[in-house]
Amino acid sequence: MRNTKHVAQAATPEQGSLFLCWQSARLVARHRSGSYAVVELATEREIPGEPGQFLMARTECGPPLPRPLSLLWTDGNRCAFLVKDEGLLRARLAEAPRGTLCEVRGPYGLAYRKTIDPGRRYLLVGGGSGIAPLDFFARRHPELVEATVFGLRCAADAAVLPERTVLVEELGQGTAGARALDMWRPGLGIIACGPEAMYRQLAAGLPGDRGVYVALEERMGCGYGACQGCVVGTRDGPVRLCKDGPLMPLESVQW
Amino acid sequence: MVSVGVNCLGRSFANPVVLASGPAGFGLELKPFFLRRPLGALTTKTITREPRSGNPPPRLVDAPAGALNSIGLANPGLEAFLADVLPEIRELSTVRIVSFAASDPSEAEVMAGRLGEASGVDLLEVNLSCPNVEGRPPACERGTAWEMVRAASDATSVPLLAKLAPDVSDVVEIAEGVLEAGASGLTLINAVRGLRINRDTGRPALARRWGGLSGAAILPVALAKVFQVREAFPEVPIVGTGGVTELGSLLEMLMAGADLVGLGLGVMADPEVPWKLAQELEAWLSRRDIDDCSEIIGCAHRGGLGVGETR
Repeated sequence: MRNTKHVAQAATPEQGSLFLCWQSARLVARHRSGSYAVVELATEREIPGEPGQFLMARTECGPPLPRPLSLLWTDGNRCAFLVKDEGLLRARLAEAPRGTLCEVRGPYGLAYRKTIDPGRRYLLVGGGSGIAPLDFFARRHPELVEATVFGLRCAADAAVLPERTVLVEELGQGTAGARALDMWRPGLGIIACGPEAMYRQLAAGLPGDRGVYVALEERMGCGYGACQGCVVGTRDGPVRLCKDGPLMPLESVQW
Repeated sequence: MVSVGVNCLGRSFANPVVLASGPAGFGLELKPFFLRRPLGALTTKTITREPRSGNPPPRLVDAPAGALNSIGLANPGLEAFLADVLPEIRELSTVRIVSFAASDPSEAEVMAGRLGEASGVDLLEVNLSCPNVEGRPPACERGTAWEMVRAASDATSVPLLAKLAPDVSDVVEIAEGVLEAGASGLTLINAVRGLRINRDTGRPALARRWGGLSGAAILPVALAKVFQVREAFPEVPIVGTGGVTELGSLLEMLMAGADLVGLGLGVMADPEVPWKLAQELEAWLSRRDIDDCSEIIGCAHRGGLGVGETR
């Protein structure tokens, strides 16, 4: 895995262990629209998360392996996620009443700003729940953002983010990807988070320009870099998405 | 004053809680916990002679009360382990068990010899039972297991644990074979071979089809194997591993006859859980007025805890 093949970067005592410990979180607000919901949690301790990072989450009823949730924003002891109502944990967060308790630990993963070339401006191209880290990035680093191009399936879904313009696209239509390709010009970077089909569309439509990054997804185990459950092969060798990712340069992705 | 320390395999363990091979990697991510509180032992991810990148994704899938994994012994290989990883592990103050696997007895001899002479390796564990690599695991057949362990134990003076598979018709027979071949102790059990189907595609959920089932789902299987082997070999050190995720299951594993208890999937879900369980064990013994952890180890074979029947 990049430079230090398989050897973990050991956490120092100064970093402490709090990011490894579960903490209780209470669902304090939710805005639901279509199949999506923005879920806001109040945590015991502050979550010092950055765009691209995620928390591991679980409820009393499981699942047995906790699930990664990408941060939509953090503010002190509050944080929010964009979840689709599928899967045990996400469906529960999308439907449970306010006051419901769950547990979270983190943040984990590399902040997008640590992976990207800081000398460019970027088009942020997102689909589905992949919009969350990009929306966060656009708020946190406006100076690095040329424009956002987000896509969801229907008008009801798109209304989950009332402050953003979200394109409505049918499955397989590639509307957001096509719009991004129209807007792209040489020198501009792209950060994409969404379905693999979107990445393929971008890869096919762009010249071999550096500065294009895509967020990869795999089922995760520990989230903190130990278990090798989320390892994917890249042209630079195997990569743990939870620790070295999730964002990867497009040219290193093996389809 | 309660003692949770355990002495076996010629080593002193601060408590009976052990990080099992696999989910915790090389334990380095958990360094902050090692610095704060003692832990019985750390077992490394299994090392092979050559580097292995492991199996293609997906490598994990949920199961009722557990998960199937198909990691496939991803590891940096013997030489990189000795040069890059072991020096870091040496800094963790715990008993260090290095797990290794070999494709044949001559490779087992090389691995055990090289690892055994390295500084910082307190114990060795030969993994005879990974369910996620090509071919039949050596632990499935007494003769093959015997040859592998004999080659490894002849090559080193470091005590050797043999990690056995649950998917065998008679675990006592295999255990007898590896003990005769020179194993100092046994680790029971590895993950149980399992399968899940993706209902959307109608195909196996894991890229390599089979995986190893671990988590609370396999606790009763692990307890049965530990109990059976403890009954047959009252004096042999056993690391009981499989499905221990909370204090109750840790106690059951000790009572069934495990001297030490390995945690696998539990650490994946909750990295702090080994240290929590070590503390909870001490508190439990204290509440029950039990002075020494050794009093409960294997007590299921001695008529229990010595408390009156409740009915």
